[in-house]
Amino acid sequence: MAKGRSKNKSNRSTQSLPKGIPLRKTSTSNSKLSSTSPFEAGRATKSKHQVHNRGKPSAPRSTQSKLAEAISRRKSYLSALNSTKFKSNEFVDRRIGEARLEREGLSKEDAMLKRIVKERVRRSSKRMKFSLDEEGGMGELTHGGKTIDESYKPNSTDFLSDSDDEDLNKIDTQLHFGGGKFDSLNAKESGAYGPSSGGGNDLGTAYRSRREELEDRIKRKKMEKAEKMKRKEDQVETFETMDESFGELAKLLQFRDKEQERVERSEKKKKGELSAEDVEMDAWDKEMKTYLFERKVKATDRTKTPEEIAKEEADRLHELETRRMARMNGDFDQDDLSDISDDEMDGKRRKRGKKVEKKKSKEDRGLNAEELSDSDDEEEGDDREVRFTADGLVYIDKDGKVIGKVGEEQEEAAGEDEEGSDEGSHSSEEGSRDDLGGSDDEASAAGSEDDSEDEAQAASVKLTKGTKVQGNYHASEQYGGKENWFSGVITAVRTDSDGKRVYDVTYDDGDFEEGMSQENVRPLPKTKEELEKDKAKLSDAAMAKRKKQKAKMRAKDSIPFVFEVPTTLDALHDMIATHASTGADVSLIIQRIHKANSVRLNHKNKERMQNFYDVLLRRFIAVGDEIFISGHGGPDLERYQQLDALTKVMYAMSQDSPECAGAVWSRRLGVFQNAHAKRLRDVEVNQLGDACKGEFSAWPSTGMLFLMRALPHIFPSSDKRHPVVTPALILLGQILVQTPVKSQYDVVVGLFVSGLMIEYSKEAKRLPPEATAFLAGVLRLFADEPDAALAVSPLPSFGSGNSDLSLELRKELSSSRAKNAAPLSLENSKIQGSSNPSAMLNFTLHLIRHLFGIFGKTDEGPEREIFSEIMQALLCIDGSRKDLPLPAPMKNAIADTARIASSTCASEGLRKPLQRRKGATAKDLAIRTLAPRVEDPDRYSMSKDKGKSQLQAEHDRHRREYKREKKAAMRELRLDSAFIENERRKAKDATDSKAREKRHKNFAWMEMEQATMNQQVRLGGGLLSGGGVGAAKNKARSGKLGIKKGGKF
Amino acid sequence: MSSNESNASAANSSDSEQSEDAPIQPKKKQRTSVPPPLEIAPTADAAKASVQNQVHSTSITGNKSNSSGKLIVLLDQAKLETIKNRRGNYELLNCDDHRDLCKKKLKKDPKEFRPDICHQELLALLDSPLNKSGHLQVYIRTSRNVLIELHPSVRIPRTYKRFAGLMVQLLHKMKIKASENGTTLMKVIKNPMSQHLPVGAHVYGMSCQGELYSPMGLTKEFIPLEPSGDTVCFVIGAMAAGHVTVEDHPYIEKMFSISEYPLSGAAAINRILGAIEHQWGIV
Repeated sequence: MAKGRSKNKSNRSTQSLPKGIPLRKTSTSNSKLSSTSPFEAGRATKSKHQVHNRGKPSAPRSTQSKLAEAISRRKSYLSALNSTKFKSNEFVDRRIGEARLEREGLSKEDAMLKRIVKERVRRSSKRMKFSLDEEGGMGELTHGGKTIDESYKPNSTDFLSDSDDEDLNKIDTQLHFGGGKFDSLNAKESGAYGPSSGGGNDLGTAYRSRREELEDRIKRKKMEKAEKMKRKEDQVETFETMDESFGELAKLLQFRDKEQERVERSEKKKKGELSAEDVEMDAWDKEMKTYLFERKVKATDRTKTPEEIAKEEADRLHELETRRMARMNGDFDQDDLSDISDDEMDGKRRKRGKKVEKKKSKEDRGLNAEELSDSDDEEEGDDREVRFTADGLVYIDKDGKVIGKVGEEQEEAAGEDEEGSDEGSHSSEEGSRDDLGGSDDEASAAGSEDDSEDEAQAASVKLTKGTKVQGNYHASEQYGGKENWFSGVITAVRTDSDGKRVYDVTYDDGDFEEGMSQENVRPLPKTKEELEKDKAKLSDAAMAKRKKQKAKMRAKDSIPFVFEVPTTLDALHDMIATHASTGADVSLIIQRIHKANSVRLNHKNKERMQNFYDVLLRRFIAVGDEIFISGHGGPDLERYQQLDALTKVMYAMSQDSPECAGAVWSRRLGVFQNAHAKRLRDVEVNQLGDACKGEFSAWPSTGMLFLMRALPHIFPSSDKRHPVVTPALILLGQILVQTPVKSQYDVVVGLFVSGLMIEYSKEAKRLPPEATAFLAGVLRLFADEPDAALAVSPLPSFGSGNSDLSLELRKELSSSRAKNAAPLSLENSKIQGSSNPSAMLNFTLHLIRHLFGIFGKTDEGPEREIFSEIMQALLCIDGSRKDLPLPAPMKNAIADTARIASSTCASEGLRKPLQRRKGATAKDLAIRTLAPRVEDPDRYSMSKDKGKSQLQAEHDRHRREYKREKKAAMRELRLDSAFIENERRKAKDATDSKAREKRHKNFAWMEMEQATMNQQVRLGGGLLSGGGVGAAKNKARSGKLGIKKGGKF
Repeated sequence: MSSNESNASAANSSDSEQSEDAPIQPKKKQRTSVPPPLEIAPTADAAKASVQNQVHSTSITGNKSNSSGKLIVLLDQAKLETIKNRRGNYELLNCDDHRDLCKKKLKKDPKEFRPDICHQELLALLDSPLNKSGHLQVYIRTSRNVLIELHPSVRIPRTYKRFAGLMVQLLHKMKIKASENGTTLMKVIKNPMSQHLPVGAHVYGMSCQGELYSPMGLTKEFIPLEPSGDTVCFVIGAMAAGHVTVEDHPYIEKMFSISEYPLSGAAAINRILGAIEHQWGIV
């Protein structure tokens, strides 16, 4: 059954639809019959989930595909609409059956039948049946819709009477004017088509009702108008009253007085009663003002690269050097001498004058001037040679022994030859200034020099009568070196009993003083005009000459700007001995060597600079060693400053080529380690003793320690692993742990090394266990009962064999009465000093406190373990020994440290013992099981809006629907337009084809005519001219007319 | 019915085989009982972390490269279909609850609809030590050709009812996530199955009509000695009646059975996995 129906449907649809429209597959049985596109089939049967027993959401009502449906729908509706598109009106055929006659091809008979049926239906009694009119009952006889009986009533209008005229008139009247009885009668009558057709109301009532209605309307309109007028009047009135009252209201209003406010505010501000907000606003205003007036700065050039800086520096040095060389050779062609000022001239001349004298004396001795100028100090004696060694300038005799030091001698000589030494320092000063290079600076410096020179010279100048001077008023009566200088004029010059010149001075204020000695009188400095006059005296040429002279002298004296790179320590020392006289000079030379030969200038310098780096390291060690032997070395040598300068240069060189520096350092560290190993081996042979007394000690020299101190400045110490710093740290640890402690020197050096280790490791917060152990050991040395304390010392170097040392230390400590502990020093003299033990203990405690600062106070950290040794050692010093009491400051320091220790390392309870970590079991390694997220099956729904709030769900649903609708509408419109276009083309095609057909017809006729003509022409006879095609036409044109020979005819 | 139910296999699981196994096992136990050296073994925490990472990092589809060293099991022809009941709820079609419906509406034999077989087999697979050690990858292919990939971490619901709910949800949503984190535990993936097999995998089908092997013999013959060897895939039926066919899976190299007797699917799986665990030393 179902099969059959579906088959029919499909048949019908195939017939009614245009070709090529796919059909829906209706059932499997006829799937072979219907040609289905796989796409269409796929779309039609698509369902996301296969669910049994689920009602299909839209059961197909038609078997047509949606596309076919759409097309048929358009055909019925759109095409009809299209046909009437540009028509203003439409004829609707309402005649019964007529429209269908045309549309459906109904036969005429059928149409008429329809009409009759319709008529019958309208008149059918069914409608009468429910008529409310009582008179029109079922049983009455009717004729033409009227009851027959009524028409025969006597008082009814007699239509059948003889007096026709009268009746007609009457009826006319009735018909024309109506009303009255006629109306009432008429009301009962039905219209031509029945009782209901005429309507039940008469004309009178209609007229009346209409009139009433109109009147009513007019009345209403009038009333409205009146009301409107009244309302308007009311409004005007209210406005007027309101305007009047506004004046009163306006009086009540107040406007703030801004001027008043400002005045009040400033007063408040003066009194300081401003509110917090106002103060803030004031501050803001102030800040804004400052920004307004802030200096605007232009952007500077880009930062120079290190290479560029190095190049500039080197170029500058080279330029200075060439000028120096030129001046030395007397070549002033390209020299403006700008760096030698006029003011300088006098003082310099005097100074140089002395030098020249000196030189003359040298020349007398028959020596080369050039050689002599190299060193000022050589004049002191021929048999001695001056060498700059690690400990500064020394005299060396012919055997090579050091006789004495230059600095010391100078100090000694200072009393005798003050001026000379002064000069020396001046010249060195100048030298150092030269490299700074600012000629202005130089000028001012020279100026100040001149002043002092003048003062110094004043004594020797003989003043004459009438000279303007400054006198020290009553100098002999002043105390404490107080001086009152007043200006005056010398009135008389005498000679006193001692042969000295004495002056009488009249001061400008009228006062007079007699017998002033020479030191209390000094000539007034020349005024500007006088100076100018002086200058004018000197001719320009002479000035230039003097200048040149001076420049030449200075060039000879100053340190060269450019040096070759010394590749051995001896070469460097030679260079220093040649050019330098003080530690600052040495530093300057080394700096210049680096600057003029930096790797950044030329990478070919690498090898030489690497050698130089090693030289520098060795020099550093040498200087450091010298510090131990002879200390700082006075203001000339300033060994610590030398070390600083060296460190700076080394740092710069490391920055220039880190790999070279690293290699040099690594080698040096290797050397250190070998040396240390050797010293440890030598312990077997040599008797250990105090290094301060020149005995053997296994501890490294101070120079090496200083170098190790410089290391973390040159390389980063906080790296986890560094090719230089890490081995250095290990070496320090090794030194600290392995080296035996025998003397105070050893302890001091050990403390220094542990301080170094802490310094190395504090940045990275790494623990130096060797340092803590050593510190604990040192504390134990100071214990009250050294034997017992040292028996359990953390380091083997602090064995029980150190009890002598310990006792000595305690004795010295108890005997020292210094209030403040001296700082620990590595210098020999200070180690041997009596304050050393207290310095040692103090430094130890300081380091311990430092360690607490670094490692203390962690959350359940390891500080207990780290400091356990130190804590125990601290407990050993309790000051219980009465014969060797601790000094009070030491006691306090120990107590302080102990307090800090207890606060940082105190712990409650024992720490849990460490346990071996367990390996992971298979269970731990097993794949974790994860429960799936299941929803309640009872409430499970496939809805998209599941889990959303009601509002949200509704919103989403609406959005979805809207989207769907929009899509559908767009699709429909698209299809519509396609359809319309299709129709239009079809229509056009139809009209075109009609025209074409006509044209073809005409052409055909014309061709036919032509053909006939041609035929006739071909037949010949000359009767016809023209026409023809091809050869016939040519022939006809050629005039060879006539009947063709051999032709058909 | 009972014979039909055994989808897989048979074998001469003789006692002699069992007795042969007995002496071997203690040796393996000895080997594994020695704790590994400290350096090699990760700590418990590290191991947990690594497992966690594994769960996080490898999405269910992302571990293809990781599938070497794993045994792959495909449960074929599982009857997992959804149905809408009278109250409008979706349920997993099964022969007990939907007997009348099957007969009247679907006009099919209710005996076909046995999703519980799949449930049992999944439990057997995913609860095995082999899976816990991370050497198992399970796929399901339903009779409607829906291919499902399972994460080794998935914990299959123990009761049928909950399992049914989960499966309905899976078939509708195509994906099931873990309740704790966003790990995808089950996912509907694209056919064909061969696309998801690693290169060079050996695929064997299980059928009572195949060649008879003992489980131990089978593993010796076909399973590599170490998990890192060639990948092996077993196609095991999860249907009430019928066989795994080479027509469905043309890549199957060989069909075999592991018992002379007809076994239920879960029993067959237990036998095979036991033998493989034995071979790979997973205790």
